[in-house]
Amino acid sequence: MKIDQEVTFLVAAILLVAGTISVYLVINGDRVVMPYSEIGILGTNMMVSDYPTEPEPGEDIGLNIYLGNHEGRLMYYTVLVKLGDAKEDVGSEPLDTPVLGTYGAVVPHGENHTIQFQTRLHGIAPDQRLVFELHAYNGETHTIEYTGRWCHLWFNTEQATT
Amino acid sequence: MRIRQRFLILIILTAALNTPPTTHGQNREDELRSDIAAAFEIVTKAERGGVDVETLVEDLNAALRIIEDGRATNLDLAETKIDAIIASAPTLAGKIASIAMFRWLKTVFTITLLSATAIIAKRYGPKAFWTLWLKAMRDWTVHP
Repeated sequence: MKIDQEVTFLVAAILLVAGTISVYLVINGDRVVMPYSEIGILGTNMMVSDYPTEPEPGEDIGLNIYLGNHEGRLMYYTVLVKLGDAKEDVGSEPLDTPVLGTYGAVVPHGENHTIQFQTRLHGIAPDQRLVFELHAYNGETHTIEYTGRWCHLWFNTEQATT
Repeated sequence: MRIRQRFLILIILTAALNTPPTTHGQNREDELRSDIAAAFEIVTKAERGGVDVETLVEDLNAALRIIEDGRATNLDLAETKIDAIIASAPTLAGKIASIAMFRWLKTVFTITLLSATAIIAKRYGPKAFWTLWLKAMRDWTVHP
């Protein structure tokens, strides 16, 4: 079978361009352009829906903390679970309220991890919330620092008692 | 009477010295969390060096779950797991060195291969390209 010389030349040119692009992707494939960490709360069935939002005071509340690592390196996360209400502002600084629990996890890059936890709310109020603050170990300062990432879940314990 | 008083004071003092403080468990947990940070640094260094650290990460997470469980009797198990990781540091350092050597050899091989390809391409490339080009365009005609 005789292949047209013009076609051969075209195929050679395409292979050259494809080869150059492949080498570039192999060299830069593992580079993380925008590193970030994830924190989320899942219900008892590991879903973003089945939250016990109106528990009885003193009733066990079972939840799951979801952590995702896209930082491009191994991460040691610590989640502080704090009790708050509508008065406190959560933001770039950690909340200055009692810590209900401390949960840690070591998560490799590109993977996620869930931590089961249980707690109880004893107060009767319509606007209590659990705040989950994400802290991470900083290898340069050798301390666990607040990442500025957080999430919360509102509870109405007053509704359950009426 | 005096002897009995002294004996009682001695018993009270001994009991007070032997009673663990109420924060003992918390202090132990804090110590273990600090040890976990040290173990994590070793695992991070190994991971950067190209060592498969999956088992070590599982052990660290298992130790964290034990600490969070809060049962003082299980804290020894957590300590054993953390100590095992810290003790494996010299072995991990050896693995890092082997992987670094292999990577170096791979880099040298790649550079040699690329250099050889470049020299061959420089020597024979233009001739091959223009021969191919001439063959491709041999049927073309030039109109004035």
